[in-house]
Amino acid sequence: MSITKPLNTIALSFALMLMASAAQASVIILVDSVKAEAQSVVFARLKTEAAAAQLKKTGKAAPLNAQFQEALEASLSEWRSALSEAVAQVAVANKADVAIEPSVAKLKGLQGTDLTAQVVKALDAQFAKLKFVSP
Amino acid sequence: MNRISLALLICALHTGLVLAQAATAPAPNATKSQALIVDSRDAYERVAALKALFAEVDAKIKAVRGRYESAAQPLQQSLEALKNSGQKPEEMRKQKAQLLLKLADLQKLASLEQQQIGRANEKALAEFDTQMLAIALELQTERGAKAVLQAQDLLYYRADCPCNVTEEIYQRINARLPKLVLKL
Repeated sequence: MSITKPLNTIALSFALMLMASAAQASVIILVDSVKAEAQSVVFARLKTEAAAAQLKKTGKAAPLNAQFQEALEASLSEWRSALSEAVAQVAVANKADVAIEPSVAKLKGLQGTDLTAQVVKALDAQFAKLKFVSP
Repeated sequence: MNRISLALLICALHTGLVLAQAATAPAPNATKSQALIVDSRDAYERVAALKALFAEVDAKIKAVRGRYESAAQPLQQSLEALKNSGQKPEEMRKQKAQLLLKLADLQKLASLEQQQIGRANEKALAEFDTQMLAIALELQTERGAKAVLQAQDLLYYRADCPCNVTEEIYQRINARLPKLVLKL
């Protein structure tokens, strides 16, 4: 009896663990790409640099003309194109299975932790020296 | 092995599994939720019925093009020959107009045939989509998942995640839908 009872408990524990692994809860993180751009210090700095460069050249800081807007977009695209890699790195670091936009999560009735700030931090560190190239 | 040794062995195994689970557990700032992933971007290669459908559509389109070219070639040759025929301009214009009309009719016919193939292809693909959706919902229910996510809607997913049910979907669809019929 003294051995049988713990053995039953262990067997039950095993069964519960196996059931849990069969159901396999996926770990979801949320990354809002629009919010990421709004939160980025590098993004804000590049916009300021573009306005300053235009002011110097044309005497008017805002709105950006097509030429300066295009140059700004070219600078921002480096940051943007590294987004998916940064999301993957943050997901791996957090042992996540899936990273989705909050809008998709909402649509599908899923919940996850918003790690947009971590992604922005990684990208801003990577592109800390990125400069606006004046046209 | 006596019962105490057996109990100790199971206890050790249990502890090992618990520790292994803890080692692979997500960081505290990630939330657990139930979702399955499907990455069907290579379905054209992995689903036999789709691959066969794609080949059939391709062959039919090529056949239509071949028939059009065979029928159009003598007309185009006649048009070329007309330039050096030495006929009266009025007669030449009349014959040229007739040939061009025949060519236009052939083109229209070929275009209609291609449209028919296109519509039949869409219907077959719709049947495939219906089956895919049914299997995805089936897996969702079986696994007690809240949702099935398509890979293209994700920013990232771990390819070896047990939540990735792509292989299972391919297996089931290949078993249930061995052929997609192109109903012309």
